[in-house]
Amino acid sequence: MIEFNKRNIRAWSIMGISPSIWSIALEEIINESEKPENMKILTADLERYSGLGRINNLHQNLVYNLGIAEQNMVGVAAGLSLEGFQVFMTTYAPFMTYRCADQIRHFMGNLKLPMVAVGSAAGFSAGMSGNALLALNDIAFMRAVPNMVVLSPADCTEAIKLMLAAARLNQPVYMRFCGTTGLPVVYQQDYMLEIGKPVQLIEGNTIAILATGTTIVHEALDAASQIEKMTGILPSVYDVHTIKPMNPDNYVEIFKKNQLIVTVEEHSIIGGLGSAIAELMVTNGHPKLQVMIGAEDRQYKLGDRAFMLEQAGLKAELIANKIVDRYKGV
Amino acid sequence: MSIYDSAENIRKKALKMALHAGKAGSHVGGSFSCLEILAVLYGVVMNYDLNNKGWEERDRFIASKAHCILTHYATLAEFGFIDEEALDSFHENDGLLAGHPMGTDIGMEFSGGSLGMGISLGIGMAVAAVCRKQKQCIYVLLGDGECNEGEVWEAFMSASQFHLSNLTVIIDYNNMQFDGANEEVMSVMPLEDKLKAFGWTAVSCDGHNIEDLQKAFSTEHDGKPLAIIAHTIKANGIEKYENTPESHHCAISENDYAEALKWMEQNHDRV
Repeated sequence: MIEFNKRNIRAWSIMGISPSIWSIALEEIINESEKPENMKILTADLERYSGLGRINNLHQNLVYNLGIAEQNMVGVAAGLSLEGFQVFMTTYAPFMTYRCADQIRHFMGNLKLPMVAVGSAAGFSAGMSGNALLALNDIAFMRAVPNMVVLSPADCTEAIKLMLAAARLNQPVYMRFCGTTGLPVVYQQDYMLEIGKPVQLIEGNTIAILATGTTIVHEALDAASQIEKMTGILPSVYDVHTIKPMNPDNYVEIFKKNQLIVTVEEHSIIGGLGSAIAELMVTNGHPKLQVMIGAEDRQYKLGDRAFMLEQAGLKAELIANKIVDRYKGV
Repeated sequence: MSIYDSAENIRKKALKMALHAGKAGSHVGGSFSCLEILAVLYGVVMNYDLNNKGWEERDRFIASKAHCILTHYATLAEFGFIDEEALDSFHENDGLLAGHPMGTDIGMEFSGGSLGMGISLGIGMAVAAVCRKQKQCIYVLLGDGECNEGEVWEAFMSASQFHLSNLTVIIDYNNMQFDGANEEVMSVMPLEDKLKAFGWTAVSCDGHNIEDLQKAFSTEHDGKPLAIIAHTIKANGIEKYENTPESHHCAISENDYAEALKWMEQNHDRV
């Protein structure tokens, strides 16, 4: 059994979310499985990057490398899934989603095949490699696919927990990993995670910050304490690890209790967490002023992830300033 | 019943379905080009058990090209997977067979329509059989136009990489796609050479000749996937539409129907 103790949590954060976290979670799923021979792990020439070498050495016929051919990978995964195998697949987030959009909406959406798709280097992670490698619309697409569960962990510990939970869901799942190594820790110790239910990290008032993703949730926590210093108001902060499904029961109280709702994400403000929350607020009859912080509908200068996050206003100080500015106007 | 009689029965059923679809029309061209291929597959080649349709080691048929629904359903009815009365529901709103349904209970392993996906799915099924040391073979029907899709070539690569000798792909080479002849739109020739270069065993045959097809299916292909390039005629047997792009989706009138039945009687020995 995997242990969520301080030592492991620190080690995971240093090792980083991709590739290592995915393989740690997979090893746990394999070890806990009654029939590991009914599992398949597929990748598109990212076996080394995805940390699958060890698993491949330990277990015969478990890992399949489909080469740089993502669409075929999703189709092969579908054939295996239809034959009753539990299938996990991974490649970089833009290829996992945009490139395989048709295969995903048909096999996972229409046919409801319970495959787990993991997109690594999502968001601004690969800025140094050029904007073709960015994934700033993956949530928008994936959450529009019928039946799809969309997950976005706040740190390495949560990534492992979400992977373990996803393996038990028996539903099509997309999970995105942002960032690489040396990611800030949000969860210092073990905690209860339930798919679909946001985790309240700070109990404040008046302002609710709903954040998602590695680094981003951490920045939101810092922003909250800065806002308290600036205004005397401590905002509540929530880690929204599940973008879909969103049960209104988990959110209505948040909308009711606060005057300003803020969403923070390493994703386009079109179609991501911000849109999902706006839809939920309005359709449940609790419209509140909302601040959407994320990638705007424009091109950014390319560079490393920190450089790009700053441009999109996804640093604690920038988040805090933006929220305080908007709050003054309420 | 001989395979020739089965093919005739399938033809009659498919024609009736096309007629029943009325002015809305149906995918006539691609259905009648692969009719004998399906007759041979279900009549001679494939192992299945009607009393246990979900039998794990049943052979799988994947209609990747999907534009063969008239023939596919007619074949399933001819060989006892579905009732003949169900055939008319294929174009009715929410009908039993409307919109490519799926399930072993009706003999439909896959519901396609977006081209290139079925062959990848078939490869997944073939890998599954190898891992479980099961005997079933996977048969995937591709269209020649469908071979324009990049995913098809990704799939060709992976099938030989994984040494899938339990996989057979039949390419319905009717030399016609939506906008016209393959070579005018996007040629995929020489397919046999290309597939051999991709590590497959590949053979060509007359896709309307039952004996020729049977011979092609029995080609030795130890350790390699097998590709059969079946040379066919789009809308074969419906002379008005034969080899025309219009046949891709067209309406069959009472007169067309009568003519096609006449053609069938005259060509009984042709196949």
